Amino acid sequence: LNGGNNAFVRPSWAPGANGSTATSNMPAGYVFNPLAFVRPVVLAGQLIPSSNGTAIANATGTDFGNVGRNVLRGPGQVNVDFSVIKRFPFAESRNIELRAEFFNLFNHPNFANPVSNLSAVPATSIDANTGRITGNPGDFGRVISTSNNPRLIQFAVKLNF
Amino acid sequence: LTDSAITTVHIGECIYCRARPTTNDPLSDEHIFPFGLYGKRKLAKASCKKCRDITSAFEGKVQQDDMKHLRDVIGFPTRHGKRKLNSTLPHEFVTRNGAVKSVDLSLPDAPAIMILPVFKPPAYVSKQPYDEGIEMTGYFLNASVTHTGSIPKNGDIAEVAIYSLRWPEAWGRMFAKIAYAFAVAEYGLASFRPADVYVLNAILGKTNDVGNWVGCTDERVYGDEFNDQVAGAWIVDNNEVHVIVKLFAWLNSVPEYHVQGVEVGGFLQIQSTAQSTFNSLQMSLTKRLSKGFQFLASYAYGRSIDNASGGSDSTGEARDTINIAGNQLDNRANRGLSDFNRMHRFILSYLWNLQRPTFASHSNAGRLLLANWQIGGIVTAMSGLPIDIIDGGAGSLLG
Repeated sequence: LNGGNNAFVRPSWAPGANGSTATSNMPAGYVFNPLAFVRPVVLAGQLIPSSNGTAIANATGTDFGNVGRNVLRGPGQVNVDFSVIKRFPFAESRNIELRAEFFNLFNHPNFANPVSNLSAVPATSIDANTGRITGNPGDFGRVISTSNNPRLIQFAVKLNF
Repeated sequence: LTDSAITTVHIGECIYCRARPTTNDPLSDEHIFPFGLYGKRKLAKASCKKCRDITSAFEGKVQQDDMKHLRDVIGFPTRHGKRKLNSTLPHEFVTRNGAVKSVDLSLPDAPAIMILPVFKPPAYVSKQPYDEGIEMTGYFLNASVTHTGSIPKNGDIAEVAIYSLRWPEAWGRMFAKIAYAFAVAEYGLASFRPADVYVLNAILGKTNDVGNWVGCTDERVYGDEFNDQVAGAWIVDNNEVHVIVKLFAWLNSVPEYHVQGVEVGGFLQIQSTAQSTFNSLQMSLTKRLSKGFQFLASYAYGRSIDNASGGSDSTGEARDTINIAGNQLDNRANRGLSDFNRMHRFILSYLWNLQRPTFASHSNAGRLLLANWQIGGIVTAMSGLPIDIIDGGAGSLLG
Protein backbone atom coordinates (compact mmCIF):
# COMPACT_ATOMS: atom_id res chain seq x y z
CA LEU A 1 0.00 0.00 0.00
CA ASN A 2 2.96 2.26 -0.20
CA GLY A 3 4.18 4.34 -3.07
CA GLY A 4 7.80 3.46 -3.20
CA ASN A 5 8.96 3.38 0.34
CA ASN A 6 7.11 6.45 1.45
CA ALA A 7 3.72 5.92 2.89
CA PHE A 8 1.53 8.11 0.77
CA VAL A 9 -1.56 8.78 2.76
CA ARG A 10 -3.55 11.79 3.82
CA PRO A 11 -4.24 13.06 7.33
CA SER A 12 -7.63 13.46 8.95
CA TRP A 13 -9.60 16.61 9.58
CA ALA A 14 -9.36 17.81 13.12
CA PRO A 15 -12.77 17.58 14.81
CA GLY A 16 -15.00 20.25 13.29
CA ALA A 17 -12.49 21.34 10.69
CA ASN A 18 -13.15 21.53 6.97
CA GLY A 19 -11.85 23.31 3.91
CA SER A 20 -13.19 26.70 4.93
CA THR A 21 -12.05 26.58 8.55
CA ALA A 22 -8.65 25.45 7.32
CA THR A 23 -8.32 28.67 5.37
CA SER A 24 -9.53 31.00 8.07
CA ASN A 25 -7.81 31.94 11.32
CA MET A 26 -4.46 31.07 9.89
CA PRO A 27 -1.51 31.72 12.15
CA ALA A 28 0.65 34.52 10.80
CA GLY A 29 2.88 33.26 8.02
CA TYR A 30 0.70 30.27 7.11
CA VAL A 31 -1.39 29.81 3.98
CA PHE A 32 -3.68 27.34 5.67
CA ASN A 33 -4.27 26.46 9.27
CA PRO A 34 -2.07 23.48 10.09
CA LEU A 35 -4.17 22.75 13.17
CA ALA A 36 -7.08 21.78 10.91
CA PHE A 37 -5.30 18.50 10.23
CA VAL A 38 -4.47 15.65 12.56
CA ARG A 39 -2.44 12.52 12.11
CA PRO A 40 -4.83 9.54 11.83
CA VAL A 41 -3.70 7.73 14.97
CA VAL A 42 -5.30 4.41 15.91
CA LEU A 43 -4.59 3.40 19.49
CA ALA A 44 -3.72 -0.17 20.39
CA GLY A 45 -6.88 -2.21 20.69
CA GLN A 46 -8.99 0.13 18.60
CA LEU A 47 -10.65 -0.80 15.35
CA ILE A 48 -8.71 0.26 12.28
CA PRO A 49 -11.18 2.44 10.39
CA SER A 50 -9.94 1.54 6.92
CA SER A 51 -10.44 -2.16 7.58
CA ASN A 52 -14.22 -1.64 7.74
CA GLY A 53 -14.29 -3.04 11.23
CA THR A 54 -12.40 -6.21 10.45
CA ALA A 55 -9.09 -5.46 12.12
CA ILE A 56 -7.92 -4.19 15.46
CA ALA A 57 -4.57 -2.51 15.93
CA ASN A 58 -2.29 -4.62 18.10
CA ALA A 59 -0.12 -1.59 18.74
CA THR A 60 -0.69 2.10 18.31
CA GLY A 61 -0.24 3.05 14.69
CA THR A 62 -1.54 5.29 11.97
CA ASP A 63 -4.19 4.68 9.33
CA PHE A 64 -5.07 6.86 6.42
CA GLY A 65 -7.19 9.87 7.16
CA ASN A 66 -10.42 11.30 5.84
CA VAL A 67 -9.10 14.40 4.10
CA GLY A 68 -9.92 14.28 0.41
CA ARG A 69 -7.65 14.92 -2.49
CA ASN A 70 -6.71 18.49 -3.41
CA VAL A 71 -9.01 20.06 -0.86
CA LEU A 72 -7.30 23.44 -0.66
CA ARG A 73 -6.21 25.92 -3.27
CA GLY A 74 -2.78 27.47 -3.50
CA PRO A 75 -1.93 31.12 -4.02
CA GLY A 76 -3.01 32.79 -7.28
CA GLN A 77 -0.46 33.57 -9.92
CA VAL A 78 -0.01 36.90 -11.74
CA ASN A 79 2.63 37.68 -14.29
CA VAL A 80 3.24 40.63 -16.60
CA ASP A 81 5.66 40.48 -19.48
CA PHE A 82 6.38 43.65 -21.43
CA SER A 83 8.53 44.59 -24.37
CA VAL A 84 9.55 47.75 -26.21
CA ILE A 85 10.77 47.51 -29.76
CA LYS A 86 12.34 50.16 -31.95
CA ARG A 87 12.87 49.43 -35.63
CA PHE A 88 15.29 51.19 -37.98
CA PRO A 89 14.31 50.50 -41.60
CA PHE A 90 17.24 50.95 -43.96
CA ALA A 91 16.25 49.34 -47.21
CA GLU A 92 13.16 48.22 -49.00
CA SER A 93 12.51 45.25 -46.75
CA ARG A 94 15.30 45.32 -44.23
CA ASN A 95 15.45 46.74 -40.79
CA ILE A 96 17.38 46.55 -37.57
CA GLU A 97 15.36 45.99 -34.48
CA LEU A 98 16.35 46.95 -30.93
CA ARG A 99 14.31 45.08 -28.39
CA ALA A 100 14.05 45.47 -24.65
CA GLU A 101 12.04 42.68 -23.06
CA PHE A 102 10.95 42.60 -19.46
CA PHE A 103 9.78 39.32 -18.00
CA ASN A 104 7.91 39.73 -14.76
CA LEU A 105 7.98 43.50 -15.26
CA PHE A 106 6.85 44.37 -11.74
CA ASN A 107 9.09 41.79 -10.07
CA HIS A 108 5.96 40.37 -8.52
CA PRO A 109 6.61 37.24 -6.51
CA ASN A 110 4.25 34.35 -7.15
CA PHE A 111 4.22 32.06 -4.21
CA ALA A 112 4.44 28.35 -4.77
CA ASN A 113 2.10 25.99 -3.00
CA PRO A 114 2.90 25.63 0.69
CA VAL A 115 4.46 22.62 2.34
CA SER A 116 1.54 20.22 2.42
CA ASN A 117 3.08 17.21 4.10
CA LEU A 118 2.09 16.87 7.73
CA SER A 119 5.35 15.06 8.38
CA ALA A 120 6.99 18.51 8.15
CA VAL A 121 5.60 19.11 11.62
CA PRO A 122 8.28 18.26 14.19
CA ALA A 123 7.45 14.94 15.84
CA THR A 124 7.58 16.60 19.23
CA SER A 125 4.70 18.86 18.20
CA ILE A 126 2.32 15.97 17.51
CA ASP A 127 0.38 14.36 20.31
CA ALA A 128 1.09 10.66 19.97
CA ASN A 129 -2.35 9.66 21.22
CA THR A 130 -4.60 12.05 19.35
CA GLY A 131 -2.44 12.96 16.37
CA ARG A 132 -3.20 16.62 17.00
CA ILE A 133 -0.61 19.30 16.43
CA THR A 134 0.00 20.68 19.88
CA GLY A 135 3.20 22.62 19.37
CA ASN A 136 4.97 24.53 16.67
CA PRO A 137 3.70 23.21 13.32
CA GLY A 138 7.00 23.85 11.59
CA ASP A 139 6.77 24.49 7.88
CA PHE A 140 3.50 22.59 7.40
CA GLY A 141 1.25 25.22 5.79
CA ARG A 142 4.02 27.67 5.03
CA VAL A 143 5.10 28.81 1.62
CA ILE A 144 8.82 28.34 1.37
CA SER A 145 9.43 28.99 -2.32
CA THR A 146 8.23 31.03 -5.25
CA SER A 147 6.99 29.55 -8.48
CA ASN A 148 8.35 32.16 -10.88
CA ASN A 149 11.50 33.98 -11.76
CA PRO A 150 12.33 37.46 -10.54
CA ARG A 151 12.29 40.27 -13.10
CA LEU A 152 14.46 39.42 -16.05
CA ILE A 153 15.42 42.07 -18.60
CA GLN A 154 16.70 41.04 -21.98
CA PHE A 155 18.11 43.34 -24.63
CA ALA A 156 18.43 42.21 -28.20
CA VAL A 157 19.40 43.50 -31.61
CA LYS A 158 17.78 41.86 -34.59
CA LEU A 159 18.51 42.24 -38.24
CA ASN A 160 15.44 41.41 -40.28
CA PHE A 161 15.92 40.76 -43.96
CA LEU B 1 18.67 -34.31 -11.54
CA THR B 2 17.74 -33.54 -15.10
CA ASP B 3 17.02 -30.27 -16.78
CA SER B 4 13.37 -31.15 -17.18
CA ALA B 5 12.99 -31.18 -13.40
CA ILE B 6 14.09 -27.56 -13.18
CA THR B 7 11.49 -24.84 -13.07
CA THR B 8 12.30 -21.45 -14.43
CA VAL B 9 11.36 -17.89 -13.60
CA HIS B 10 12.24 -15.49 -16.36
CA ILE B 11 14.01 -12.33 -15.25
CA GLY B 12 15.89 -10.77 -18.17
CA GLU B 13 18.25 -8.54 -16.22
CA CYS B 14 21.10 -9.13 -13.82
CA ILE B 15 19.55 -9.42 -10.38
CA TYR B 16 22.75 -8.10 -8.78
CA CYS B 17 23.76 -5.11 -10.87
CA ARG B 18 20.63 -4.77 -13.04
CA ALA B 19 22.69 -5.00 -16.22
CA ARG B 20 20.64 -5.67 -19.32
CA PRO B 21 21.54 -8.39 -21.79
CA THR B 22 23.99 -7.36 -24.49
CA THR B 23 25.39 -9.21 -27.46
CA ASN B 24 28.62 -9.75 -25.56
CA ASP B 25 26.88 -10.91 -22.44
CA PRO B 26 23.40 -12.29 -23.02
CA LEU B 27 23.19 -13.03 -19.25
CA SER B 28 23.21 -16.49 -17.81
CA ASP B 29 20.71 -18.40 -15.75
CA GLU B 30 21.02 -18.24 -12.01
CA HIS B 31 20.09 -21.23 -9.89
CA ILE B 32 18.52 -20.32 -6.59
CA PHE B 33 20.16 -23.24 -4.88
CA PRO B 34 23.34 -24.15 -6.71
CA PHE B 35 22.85 -26.84 -9.30
CA GLY B 36 25.42 -28.90 -7.45
CA LEU B 37 23.18 -28.85 -4.37
CA TYR B 38 20.18 -30.17 -6.26
CA GLY B 39 18.82 -26.70 -7.05
CA LYS B 40 15.60 -27.28 -8.95
CA ARG B 41 14.52 -23.74 -9.56
CA LYS B 42 16.34 -21.16 -11.55
CA LEU B 43 16.04 -17.57 -12.67
CA ALA B 44 16.49 -17.36 -16.41
CA LYS B 45 18.77 -14.66 -17.80
CA ALA B 46 19.48 -13.29 -14.37
CA SER B 47 23.21 -12.86 -13.93
CA CYS B 48 25.77 -10.94 -15.91
CA LYS B 49 29.20 -12.37 -16.40
CA LYS B 50 30.86 -10.10 -13.87
CA CYS B 51 28.42 -10.95 -11.10
CA ARG B 52 28.41 -14.63 -12.03
CA ASP B 53 32.17 -14.73 -11.56
CA ILE B 54 31.69 -13.35 -8.06
CA THR B 55 28.90 -15.71 -7.05
CA SER B 56 30.47 -18.79 -8.59
CA ALA B 57 33.70 -18.04 -6.73
CA PHE B 58 32.11 -18.42 -3.30
CA GLU B 59 29.82 -21.22 -4.36
CA GLY B 60 32.88 -23.00 -5.66
CA LYS B 61 34.63 -22.66 -2.32
CA VAL B 62 31.68 -24.25 -0.61
CA GLN B 63 31.04 -27.03 -3.06
CA GLN B 64 34.45 -27.94 -4.34
CA ASP B 65 36.32 -27.44 -1.13
CA ASP B 66 34.25 -27.60 2.02
CA MET B 67 31.78 -30.10 0.61
CA LYS B 68 34.15 -31.97 -1.61
CA HIS B 69 34.23 -35.05 0.53
CA LEU B 70 30.47 -35.43 0.68
CA ARG B 71 30.04 -34.61 -2.99
CA ASP B 72 32.58 -37.18 -3.99
CA VAL B 73 31.10 -39.89 -1.81
CA ILE B 74 27.47 -39.34 -2.70
CA GLY B 75 27.96 -38.05 -6.23
CA PHE B 76 26.21 -34.73 -6.26
CA PRO B 77 25.10 -33.37 -9.59
CA THR B 78 27.74 -31.52 -11.49
CA ARG B 79 27.79 -29.35 -14.55
CA HIS B 80 31.20 -30.59 -15.47
CA GLY B 81 30.09 -33.92 -16.88
CA LYS B 82 31.38 -37.03 -15.22
CA ARG B 83 34.13 -35.82 -13.02
CA LYS B 84 37.07 -38.11 -12.83
CA LEU B 85 36.75 -39.37 -9.31
CA ASN B 86 39.47 -41.12 -7.50
CA SER B 87 38.33 -44.59 -6.67
CA THR B 88 39.46 -44.13 -3.11
CA LEU B 89 39.33 -41.27 -0.65
CA PRO B 90 41.84 -40.76 2.10
CA HIS B 91 40.35 -40.75 5.59
CA GLU B 92 42.07 -40.09 8.84
CA PHE B 93 41.14 -42.04 11.91
CA VAL B 94 42.29 -41.68 15.44
CA THR B 95 43.08 -45.02 16.99
CA ARG B 96 42.51 -45.96 20.59
CA ASN B 97 46.06 -45.26 21.51
CA GLY B 98 45.82 -41.73 20.08
CA ALA B 99 47.71 -42.24 16.89
CA VAL B 100 46.38 -40.83 13.64
CA LYS B 101 46.07 -43.35 10.91
CA SER B 102 45.36 -42.59 7.30
CA VAL B 103 43.27 -45.12 5.47
CA ASP B 104 42.22 -45.03 1.87
CA LEU B 105 38.63 -46.14 1.61
CA SER B 106 36.96 -46.98 -1.67
CA LEU B 107 34.03 -44.73 -2.50
CA PRO B 108 31.29 -47.24 -1.72
CA ASP B 109 32.90 -47.92 1.62
CA ALA B 110 33.56 -44.34 2.62
CA PRO B 111 31.29 -42.84 5.26
CA ALA B 112 29.20 -39.92 4.07
CA ILE B 113 29.82 -37.24 6.63
CA MET B 114 27.93 -34.05 6.20
CA ILE B 115 29.32 -30.95 7.84
CA LEU B 116 27.32 -27.77 7.84
CA PRO B 117 28.30 -24.59 9.62
CA VAL B 118 26.21 -23.23 12.48
CA PHE B 119 26.32 -19.47 12.74
CA LYS B 120 25.32 -16.91 15.30
CA PRO B 121 21.94 -15.33 14.60
CA PRO B 122 22.05 -12.47 12.09
CA ALA B 123 23.27 -9.45 14.03
CA TYR B 124 20.66 -7.28 12.34
CA VAL B 125 17.91 -9.44 13.80
CA SER B 126 19.43 -10.26 17.17
CA LYS B 127 20.57 -6.64 17.65
CA GLN B 128 23.82 -7.94 19.03
CA PRO B 129 26.98 -5.90 18.67
CA TYR B 130 28.49 -6.71 15.33
CA ASP B 131 31.78 -5.91 13.76
CA GLU B 132 32.36 -7.77 10.54
CA GLY B 133 32.52 -11.20 8.95
CA ILE B 134 30.41 -14.10 10.10
CA GLU B 135 30.92 -16.04 13.30
CA MET B 136 30.44 -19.77 13.56
CA THR B 137 29.27 -21.25 16.81
CA GLY B 138 29.74 -24.85 15.81
CA TYR B 139 29.20 -27.53 13.26
CA PHE B 140 26.30 -29.64 12.31
CA LEU B 141 27.55 -33.16 11.72
CA ASN B 142 25.61 -35.97 10.24
CA ALA B 143 26.99 -39.30 9.29
CA SER B 144 23.65 -40.95 8.70
CA VAL B 145 23.28 -39.74 5.16
CA THR B 146 21.95 -42.67 3.21
CA HIS B 147 24.95 -44.33 1.78
CA THR B 148 26.43 -47.76 1.75
CA GLY B 149 29.61 -46.73 3.47
CA SER B 150 30.14 -46.35 7.16
CA ILE B 151 32.83 -45.73 9.68
CA PRO B 152 34.87 -48.94 9.76
CA LYS B 153 33.87 -51.16 12.65
CA ASN B 154 37.38 -51.73 13.57
CA GLY B 155 38.04 -52.16 17.26
CA ASP B 156 41.11 -50.13 16.83
CA ILE B 157 39.36 -46.90 15.81
CA ALA B 158 38.21 -44.38 18.37
CA GLU B 159 37.45 -41.25 16.37
CA VAL B 160 37.18 -40.06 12.83
CA ALA B 161 39.16 -36.94 12.10
CA ILE B 162 37.07 -34.35 10.40
CA TYR B 163 38.43 -31.27 8.84
CA SER B 164 36.93 -27.99 9.83
CA LEU B 165 35.17 -25.89 7.26
CA ARG B 166 37.54 -23.52 5.63
CA TRP B 167 35.18 -20.98 4.17
CA PRO B 168 32.46 -19.91 6.60
CA GLU B 169 32.21 -16.54 4.92
CA ALA B 170 31.66 -18.20 1.54
CA TRP B 171 28.88 -20.27 3.10
CA GLY B 172 27.30 -17.12 4.48
CA ARG B 173 27.45 -15.39 1.15
CA MET B 174 26.02 -18.44 -0.56
CA PHE B 175 23.06 -18.45 1.81
CA ALA B 176 22.58 -14.75 1.24
CA LYS B 177 22.60 -15.32 -2.50
CA ILE B 178 20.15 -18.20 -2.22
CA ALA B 179 17.86 -16.07 -0.09
CA TYR B 180 18.00 -13.08 -2.41
CA ALA B 181 17.47 -15.16 -5.54
CA PHE B 182 14.58 -16.91 -3.81
CA ALA B 183 13.02 -13.60 -2.81
CA VAL B 184 13.34 -12.39 -6.40
CA ALA B 185 11.59 -15.53 -7.65
CA GLU B 186 8.83 -15.07 -5.08
CA TYR B 187 8.20 -11.35 -5.27
CA GLY B 188 9.67 -10.28 -8.61
CA LEU B 189 12.75 -8.22 -9.21
CA ALA B 190 10.72 -5.03 -9.55
CA SER B 191 9.84 -5.27 -5.87
CA PHE B 192 13.42 -4.65 -4.87
CA ARG B 193 15.13 -1.37 -5.37
CA PRO B 194 18.86 -2.00 -5.51
CA ALA B 195 19.57 0.40 -2.66
CA ASP B 196 17.12 -1.46 -0.43
CA VAL B 197 18.75 -4.84 -0.83
CA TYR B 198 21.12 -4.39 2.08
CA VAL B 199 22.50 -7.87 1.73
CA LEU B 200 23.55 -7.27 -1.86
CA ASN B 201 26.89 -5.72 -0.97
CA ALA B 202 27.71 -8.74 1.15
CA ILE B 203 26.81 -11.11 -1.67
CA LEU B 204 29.00 -9.24 -4.10
CA GLY B 205 31.79 -8.96 -1.57
CA LYS B 206 31.74 -5.16 -1.54
CA THR B 207 31.35 -5.19 2.21
CA ASN B 208 32.39 -7.74 4.78
CA ASP B 209 29.14 -7.76 6.72
CA VAL B 210 27.51 -11.02 5.77
CA GLY B 211 27.08 -11.94 9.45
CA ASN B 212 24.86 -8.92 9.86
CA TRP B 213 22.29 -10.49 7.58
CA VAL B 214 22.89 -14.23 7.69
CA GLY B 215 22.85 -16.58 10.62
CA CYS B 216 21.17 -19.44 12.43
CA THR B 217 18.66 -19.17 15.19
CA ASP B 218 18.51 -21.56 18.07
CA GLU B 219 15.41 -23.34 17.00
CA ARG B 220 15.85 -26.30 14.76
CA VAL B 221 12.88 -27.16 12.71
CA TYR B 222 12.81 -30.83 12.02
CA GLY B 223 12.87 -31.82 8.42
CA ASP B 224 9.70 -33.10 6.91
CA GLU B 225 9.11 -34.92 3.73
CA PHE B 226 11.04 -32.48 1.63
CA ASN B 227 13.44 -34.24 -0.55
CA ASP B 228 16.06 -31.61 -0.85
CA GLN B 229 16.70 -27.97 -0.28
CA VAL B 230 13.91 -25.72 0.89
CA ALA B 231 13.51 -22.03 1.35
CA GLY B 232 10.68 -19.90 2.58
CA ALA B 233 10.29 -16.17 2.48
CA TRP B 234 7.94 -13.77 4.07
CA ILE B 235 7.73 -10.10 4.72
CA VAL B 236 8.19 -8.91 8.25
CA ASP B 237 7.87 -5.45 9.78
CA ASN B 238 9.18 -2.52 7.78
CA ASN B 239 8.71 -4.37 4.50
CA GLU B 240 11.73 -6.53 5.11
CA VAL B 241 11.92 -9.93 3.57
CA HIS B 242 13.04 -12.72 5.82
CA VAL B 243 14.15 -15.90 4.12
CA ILE B 244 14.83 -19.26 5.71
CA VAL B 245 17.09 -21.61 3.86
CA LYS B 246 17.63 -25.24 4.67
CA LEU B 247 20.03 -27.57 2.97
CA PHE B 248 19.18 -31.27 3.02
CA ALA B 249 15.91 -30.57 4.71
CA TRP B 250 15.02 -34.23 4.84
CA LEU B 251 17.63 -34.71 7.53
CA ASN B 252 16.47 -34.23 11.04
CA SER B 253 17.48 -31.12 12.77
CA VAL B 254 19.62 -29.50 10.10
CA PRO B 255 20.43 -25.88 10.81
CA GLU B 256 18.16 -23.24 9.41
CA TYR B 257 19.89 -20.33 7.84
CA HIS B 258 18.04 -17.08 8.32
CA VAL B 259 18.73 -14.28 5.95
CA GLN B 260 17.39 -10.83 6.36
CA GLY B 261 18.29 -7.58 4.77
CA VAL B 262 16.32 -7.67 1.60
CA GLU B 263 13.83 -4.90 1.65
CA VAL B 264 10.82 -4.79 -0.57
CA GLY B 265 10.38 -1.38 -2.07
CA GLY B 266 6.64 -1.87 -2.23
CA PHE B 267 4.59 -3.56 -4.85
CA LEU B 268 3.51 -1.61 -7.84
CA GLN B 269 0.16 -2.39 -9.29
CA ILE B 270 -0.63 -0.54 -12.44
CA GLN B 271 -4.31 -0.06 -13.04
CA SER B 272 -6.03 1.72 -15.86
CA THR B 273 -8.83 3.01 -13.71
CA ALA B 274 -8.40 6.75 -13.78
CA GLN B 275 -11.36 8.85 -14.84
CA SER B 276 -11.55 12.52 -15.49
CA THR B 277 -14.08 15.15 -16.41
CA PHE B 278 -13.48 18.70 -17.45
CA ASN B 279 -16.07 21.43 -17.72
CA SER B 280 -15.24 24.91 -18.69
CA LEU B 281 -16.51 28.22 -19.94
CA GLN B 282 -14.06 29.79 -22.33
CA MET B 283 -14.23 33.30 -23.73
CA SER B 284 -11.87 35.15 -25.93
CA LEU B 285 -11.82 38.59 -27.39
CA THR B 286 -9.63 39.36 -30.38
CA LYS B 287 -8.88 42.67 -31.93
CA ARG B 288 -7.19 42.31 -35.27
CA LEU B 289 -4.53 44.75 -36.25
CA SER B 290 -6.05 48.15 -36.97
CA LYS B 291 -4.62 51.55 -36.26
CA GLY B 292 -1.50 49.73 -35.19
CA PHE B 293 -3.12 47.88 -32.32
CA GLN B 294 -4.04 44.28 -31.82
CA PHE B 295 -4.77 42.13 -28.83
CA LEU B 296 -6.08 38.77 -27.81
CA ALA B 297 -7.73 38.31 -24.45
CA SER B 298 -8.92 34.96 -23.25
CA TYR B 299 -10.54 33.80 -20.09
CA ALA B 300 -11.45 30.32 -19.01
CA TYR B 301 -13.48 29.26 -16.04
CA GLY B 302 -12.90 25.57 -15.63
CA ARG B 303 -13.13 22.68 -13.33
CA SER B 304 -11.28 19.45 -13.94
CA ILE B 305 -12.09 16.50 -11.72
CA ASP B 306 -10.36 13.15 -11.73
CA ASN B 307 -9.03 10.45 -9.49
CA ALA B 308 -5.44 10.62 -10.72
CA SER B 309 -3.74 13.30 -12.75
CA GLY B 310 -0.67 11.51 -13.95
CA GLY B 311 2.59 12.96 -12.90
CA SER B 312 6.09 13.68 -13.91
CA ASP B 313 9.25 11.80 -13.21
CA SER B 314 12.44 13.25 -11.81
CA THR B 315 13.38 14.71 -15.16
CA GLY B 316 10.03 16.46 -15.44
CA GLU B 317 8.78 14.26 -18.22
CA ALA B 318 5.14 13.41 -18.08
CA ARG B 319 4.40 9.81 -17.34
CA ASP B 320 1.29 7.78 -17.19
CA THR B 321 1.54 6.30 -13.75
CA ILE B 322 1.32 8.01 -10.41
CA ASN B 323 1.23 6.74 -6.89
CA ILE B 324 -2.26 6.67 -5.51
CA ALA B 325 -2.62 8.10 -2.05
CA GLY B 326 -4.95 6.92 0.60
CA ASN B 327 -7.30 4.02 0.31
CA GLN B 328 -6.28 2.14 -2.78
CA LEU B 329 -9.21 -0.17 -2.57
CA ASP B 330 -11.60 2.69 -3.05
CA ASN B 331 -11.25 4.41 -6.40
CA ARG B 332 -13.61 7.17 -5.42
CA ALA B 333 -11.53 8.09 -2.40
CA ASN B 334 -9.16 9.96 -4.66
CA ARG B 335 -11.80 11.76 -6.65
CA GLY B 336 -11.17 15.46 -6.47
CA LEU B 337 -9.90 18.44 -8.34
CA SER B 338 -7.16 17.61 -10.80
CA ASP B 339 -3.65 18.49 -9.77
CA PHE B 340 -3.50 20.94 -12.67
CA ASN B 341 -6.93 22.48 -12.13
CA ARG B 342 -7.08 26.26 -12.26
CA MET B 343 -10.51 27.71 -11.78
CA HIS B 344 -9.80 31.07 -13.39
CA ARG B 345 -7.29 31.70 -16.08
CA PHE B 346 -6.95 35.02 -17.87
CA ILE B 347 -4.39 35.84 -20.53
CA LEU B 348 -4.02 39.09 -22.45
CA SER B 349 -1.47 39.58 -25.17
CA TYR B 350 -1.15 42.77 -27.13
CA LEU B 351 1.02 44.51 -29.68
CA TRP B 352 0.86 48.22 -30.34
CA ASN B 353 2.67 50.01 -33.15
CA LEU B 354 3.02 53.50 -31.76
CA GLN B 355 2.04 56.27 -34.10
CA ARG B 356 4.72 58.69 -35.06
CA PRO B 357 3.96 62.01 -33.45
CA THR B 358 3.13 64.62 -36.13
CA PHE B 359 5.95 66.96 -35.15
CA ALA B 360 8.48 64.18 -35.71
CA SER B 361 8.09 64.33 -39.46
CA HIS B 362 9.61 67.79 -39.49
CA SER B 363 13.15 66.56 -39.11
CA ASN B 364 15.26 63.61 -40.13
CA ALA B 365 16.28 63.04 -36.52
CA GLY B 366 12.66 63.01 -35.46
CA ARG B 367 11.75 60.53 -38.20
CA LEU B 368 14.69 58.36 -37.25
CA LEU B 369 14.24 58.37 -33.50
CA LEU B 370 10.54 58.72 -32.92
CA ALA B 371 9.08 56.50 -35.62
CA ASN B 372 8.69 52.74 -35.64
CA TRP B 373 8.25 52.13 -31.97
CA GLN B 374 6.30 49.11 -30.84
CA ILE B 375 5.28 47.84 -27.46
CA GLY B 376 3.87 44.46 -26.60
CA GLY B 377 3.33 42.20 -23.71
CA ILE B 378 1.54 39.36 -22.07
CA VAL B 379 -0.43 39.55 -18.85
CA THR B 380 -1.34 36.33 -17.12
CA ALA B 381 -3.48 35.98 -14.04
CA MET B 382 -4.79 32.69 -12.77
CA SER B 383 -5.93 30.84 -9.74
CA GLY B 384 -3.50 28.76 -7.73
CA LEU B 385 -3.12 25.04 -8.11
CA PRO B 386 -4.82 22.75 -5.63
CA ILE B 387 -2.96 21.81 -2.48
CA ASP B 388 -2.99 18.12 -1.68
CA ILE B 389 -2.55 17.65 2.04
CA ILE B 390 -0.66 14.45 2.75
CA ASP B 391 0.98 12.91 5.75
CA GLY B 392 4.21 11.08 4.99
CA GLY B 393 4.41 10.03 8.63
CA ALA B 394 1.14 8.16 8.74
CA GLY B 395 -0.07 4.88 7.35
CA SER B 396 2.05 2.69 9.62
CA LEU B 397 -0.80 0.20 10.03
CA LEU B 398 -0.96 -0.30 6.30
CA GLY B 399 2.38 -2.01 5.98
